[in-house]
Amino acid sequence: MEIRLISAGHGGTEVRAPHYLTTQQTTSTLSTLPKLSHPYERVYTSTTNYSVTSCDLSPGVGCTMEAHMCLSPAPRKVKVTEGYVDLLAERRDTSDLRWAIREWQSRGDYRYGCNMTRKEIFDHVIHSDRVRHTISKLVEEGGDGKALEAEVEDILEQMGHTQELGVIRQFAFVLPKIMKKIYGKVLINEDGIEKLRNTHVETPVVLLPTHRSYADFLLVSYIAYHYNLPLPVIAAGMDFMNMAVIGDKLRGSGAFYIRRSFMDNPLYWAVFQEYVQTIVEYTGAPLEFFLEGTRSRSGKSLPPKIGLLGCVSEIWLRGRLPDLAIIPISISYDRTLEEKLYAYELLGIPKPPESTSGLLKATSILKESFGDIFIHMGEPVSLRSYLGPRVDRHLSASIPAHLASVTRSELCACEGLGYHILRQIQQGAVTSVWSVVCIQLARSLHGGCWSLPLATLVKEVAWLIGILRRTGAAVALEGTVEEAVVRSLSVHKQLASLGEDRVVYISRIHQADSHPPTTQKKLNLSAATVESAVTHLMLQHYINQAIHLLIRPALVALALHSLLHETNTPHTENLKERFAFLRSLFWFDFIFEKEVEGRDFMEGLSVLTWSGEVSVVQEQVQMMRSDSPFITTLLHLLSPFTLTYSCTAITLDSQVWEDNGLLVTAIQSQVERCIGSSGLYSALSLDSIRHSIRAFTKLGIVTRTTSVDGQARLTSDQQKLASVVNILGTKQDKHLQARL
Amino acid sequence: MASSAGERLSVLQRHLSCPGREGPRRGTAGHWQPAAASSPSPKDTAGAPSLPRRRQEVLKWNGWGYKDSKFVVHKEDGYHVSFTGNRYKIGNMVLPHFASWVKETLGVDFEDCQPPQPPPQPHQIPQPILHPGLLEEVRALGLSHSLEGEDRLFRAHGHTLAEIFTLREGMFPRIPDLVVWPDGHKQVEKMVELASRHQVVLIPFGGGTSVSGALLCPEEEGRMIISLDTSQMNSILWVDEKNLTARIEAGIIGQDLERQLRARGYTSGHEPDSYEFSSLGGWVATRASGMKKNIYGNIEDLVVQVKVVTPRGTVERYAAGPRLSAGPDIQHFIMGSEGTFGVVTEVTLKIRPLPPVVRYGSIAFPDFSAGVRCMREVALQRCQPASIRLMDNQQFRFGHALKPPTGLMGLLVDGLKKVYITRIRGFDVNKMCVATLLFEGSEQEVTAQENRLYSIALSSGGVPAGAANGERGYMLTFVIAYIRDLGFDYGIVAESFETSVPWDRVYSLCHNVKHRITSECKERGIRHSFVTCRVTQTYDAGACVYFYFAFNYRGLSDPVHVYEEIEGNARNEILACGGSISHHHGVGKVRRQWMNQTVSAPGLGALRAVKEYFDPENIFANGNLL
Repeated sequence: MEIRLISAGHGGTEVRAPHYLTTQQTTSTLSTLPKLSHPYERVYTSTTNYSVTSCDLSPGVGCTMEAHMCLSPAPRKVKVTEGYVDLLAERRDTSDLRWAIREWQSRGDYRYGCNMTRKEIFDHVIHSDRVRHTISKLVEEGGDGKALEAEVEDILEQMGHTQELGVIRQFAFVLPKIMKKIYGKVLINEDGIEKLRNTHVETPVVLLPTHRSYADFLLVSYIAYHYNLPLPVIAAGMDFMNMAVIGDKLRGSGAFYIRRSFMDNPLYWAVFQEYVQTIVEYTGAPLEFFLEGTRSRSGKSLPPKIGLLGCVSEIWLRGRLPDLAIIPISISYDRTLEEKLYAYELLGIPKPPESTSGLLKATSILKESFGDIFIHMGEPVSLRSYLGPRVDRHLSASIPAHLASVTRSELCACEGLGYHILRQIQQGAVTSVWSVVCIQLARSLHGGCWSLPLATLVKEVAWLIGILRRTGAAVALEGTVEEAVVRSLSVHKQLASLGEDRVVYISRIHQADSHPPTTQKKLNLSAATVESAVTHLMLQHYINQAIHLLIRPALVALALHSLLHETNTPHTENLKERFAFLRSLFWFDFIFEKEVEGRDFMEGLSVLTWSGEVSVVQEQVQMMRSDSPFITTLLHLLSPFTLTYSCTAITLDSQVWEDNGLLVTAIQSQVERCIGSSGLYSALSLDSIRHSIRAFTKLGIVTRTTSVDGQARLTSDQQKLASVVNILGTKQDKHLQARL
Repeated sequence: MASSAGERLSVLQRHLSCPGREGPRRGTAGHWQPAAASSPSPKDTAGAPSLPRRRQEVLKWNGWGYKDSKFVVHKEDGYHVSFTGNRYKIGNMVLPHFASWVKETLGVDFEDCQPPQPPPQPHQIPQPILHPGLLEEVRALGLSHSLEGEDRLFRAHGHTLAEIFTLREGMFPRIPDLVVWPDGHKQVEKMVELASRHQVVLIPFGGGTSVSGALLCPEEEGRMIISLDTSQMNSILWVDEKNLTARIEAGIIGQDLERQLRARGYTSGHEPDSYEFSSLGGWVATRASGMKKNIYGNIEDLVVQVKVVTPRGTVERYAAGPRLSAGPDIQHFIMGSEGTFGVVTEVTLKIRPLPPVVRYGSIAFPDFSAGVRCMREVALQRCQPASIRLMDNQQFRFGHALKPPTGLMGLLVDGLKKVYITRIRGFDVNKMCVATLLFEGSEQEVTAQENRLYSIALSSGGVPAGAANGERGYMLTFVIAYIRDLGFDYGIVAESFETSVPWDRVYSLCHNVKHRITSECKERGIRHSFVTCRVTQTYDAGACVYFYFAFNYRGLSDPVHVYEEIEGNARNEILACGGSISHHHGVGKVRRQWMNQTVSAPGLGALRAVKEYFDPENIFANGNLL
């Protein structure tokens, strides 16, 4: 909870504010700190160790707890492994240039890897069985062999990375300069770094960071440079390549470029697979890509894309390597650079294409403050341990490796792995106090209040933080809750500012004529809606970053809520069944692991029973009180989503839809009509709308049929649609009732 | 090959003029071949079996091989390991590097020695279940038999880790109730008929060197179990010099067969690593493979005819022609049947004249993958010598640890060699590996083979590394089996297992299996483990890979179970990497669980149907394979 200064040799004196420490004191503690093997140990040990609380089981809830915790005796010696250290601390004191040109040698290289030049990798790909086989197949079909070979080289030229330390050094010089300007601290758990290093010696690693911002892009490479880890090779989308200068610099720092869609191009697919696999299997360089495929505009985890993950898994599935280690990396920003752009995008205002000039225009952000970044390098996940029990590798072991494509059941296992990793990422993420603040601000907004007293806010935030910590969440809390809230308000002052009168004012971000400058097409929504919606969606972006912590109890609460209309004391089995339905309904919006439905249910139910608002006696579930603040909060948290899904059901019910963009727009319009006085503007999010359609299809509520004219149509089961609306509890809403 | 009459005559001449098994050998090679301790001249002893009927008089009752041959530890300023007896080349020598290697690699504490339990007292051995009528009939037939505990216990097991561990620390719940020694095919027929009539179980026992649990008595078997020991059926019935075949009784053990054939100027060429103790019938029943299969072939290539007594009658193929087109080969039902259909009594085997020249060789490679590339190229060009084996780096260093002391000259030569390999060729001692070679044939043939092989080696980055390294490699094959018994005393369990795999997967299979074993050990809190492999046979389409695996089990409550779990996972990894259930050890009981994955359910069903026909009442109820 609070930041502690660890001064191991001095009897564990605890200083609450590290900034007061003089340099002299710092150096004096240095000599007594535990010896690290790293030559740059000063970098870490001279900075403060931040302990991020997780799983704290202290009984107290609320503001008083902070004081209580400060009195507790500080441990004499806190292990470095428990702490997060600030990457920028030393950068603030010493020369960036010297840092960028320091002698650099990676430690922890893959033991069996071989250094391959760009040319050697290309040759390996060109001469691989898979690529040669694909070419000969295409020649059989009438292709021109020479032209195809030339195409392979073109693809490789376009795709291939170069990794030059020189370019990395340029970034190592520039990045800290930018980061120091806009960020407070960049905090990372060092034990994760060392685990990564140790693992990588024996098995190649795959780094899977969250993708919330463009800032993610070089962060992992920078960390690698900082800690002398082997530099990652990064899979990047083609859009970056066309950026002047930056495109090439990224390539030089180890990025390779892949097209957005190429499933219908067998040659490209073969070259791509072979390229990725050569990097992992032969060079053993850490491979970095974004499991979610794209930046999550909504702030939630996106369902995993399994193309690259499947491609990497194939190496193990075909027995070419004994194992692969997957490192989930959770990157949490106090404030996302693109927060405003995202809100517009989610409303249907498209993002401008990536360009260097666009980037230069964005330099105005350098004047702003974006708070801290928390990076959690997760526990390595062994691909073999996860996939091993779920696949039968021997079935394809006698087919030449390049002909044995990944089977359906293997892909399904890989998908499960994707969800598993996303869960690991979520569990490693450090939750910002701001996310909790946003939950409370949104509640106020939904009630139509654009301002609320600081004291009320702090009280509610402290209460919720207490609950979150109880569920095992890591909340980055520095000082008292009030201090933390005030600090986060100052970072986010554009969105919500603290007035002289100790009242928090939420701002209307959207000004009728200021944005969007680049919209070509007509907006689906009315100007008044957009005006409120942008603020709502920005808050929702931060709420969503914490929503995974509460989603299980929230869905149990929703299940209970809907059952209580039918009976007073529902049976746990019925509750579980209803929960299971909701879980699969919201499958794409919130990330669940396959196969663990029962565990998710128990987890959710136990949080509710712990809160004292629900009790289970002899398999009968009961609400303990009529005013249940926790359950109300949980239901509130879900309300934008239930509205979206209900509106999807209503829209689908109204006619037979063709499977194109019109449906999405129609649903959004339906949501706009239904918002009414509820203030649930974040229900307009296109992200959730798309997820809802996908989920309805998956659950068979909607079926996709292709008619004679080749047009895909969506036909829906009216009964099932009605039951969805019923369960989601929006039945009472008169707008909806009129329709169904 | 010495195929012309003149050459063969010279072979015989040489053989008669120089006594002992060195006869046909020449060049730098000494007698790496193990043999019975006292064999003054082949003429005197050629016919007599090396092992007595009561084998426990010469062989260990609870470990591998001869009683007089074993590794021992001495304490005098530090610990030293030496090998006793004079049967092997390293016999009666202190091995100066071995103790420190064991300490480093396996964390052995020489102070912490746990010797095995003493031989069991009669009351500790399970009481026999006796079928009253049957025993009388056995007596009436004049069949040699025994009810003694020692005899029964000796035939209750093979040589898997679990079996030897049980002998050292416990007792089998079920052992054979009676041992019989038929003296030939006729008596076997009578015995099988008797067993069928009285509903008792027969378990054929040859050399007892099984490493698949094949000899273990099924615990739940309620009927009387008779161990049918074939060791007294051990003569060469005839030798057909025109067709180069010999009719041999199936109980003969490898070293006796070789010695007797050699006395006549021939060899069978079948030399599995266990050939000092394993029997011809056992080779047939497990589809054995010999070290020199490149010249002579595996057992299925060597066998011309087989005679088997099943409860349904005696199965035979009445044609000695070289090849038949007469439906699925009935003899292939027998080969690999692991004693589940009947008892092999007689075999017609191909024989070859002894080669005039035998030479060793070796090649050093910078790393294992270069070695595998070379092996593949050799197989591609089909220019394999009698034997070519590639040891990985761990085994290469292990071999060095077993080096006997060398004189000053030896030191000097070794030093120079090391400087050449590491400094001039730039090999890394922690990565390099060695292939051992055995050449047989006429002088010209061997020289031509050597030239061709070394030029392939050079082009794959290898360096010829001398005959001595090669010879030691082959000698160690026989000695390595003795190490396990020493390991047991100091908390080390060790075992070997093997597989066959297509060429393109050889390297990854070796790498993956070693990695899998190491990480399985780590997961179980094992701090010291050793895993090594070698590519021991090459074929057109793939290779045979042999693994050794040992770990220090101090601190584990059930090392055998832990070992079995790890080996099971290693086998899963092997199958997932395209390897097979077994190349030559067989399935027995320990690998039965993978049969379905290996031959498909209908395939397994067909084998069951054959068993059902040959042995409807399950007289041969050892429970192997199916």
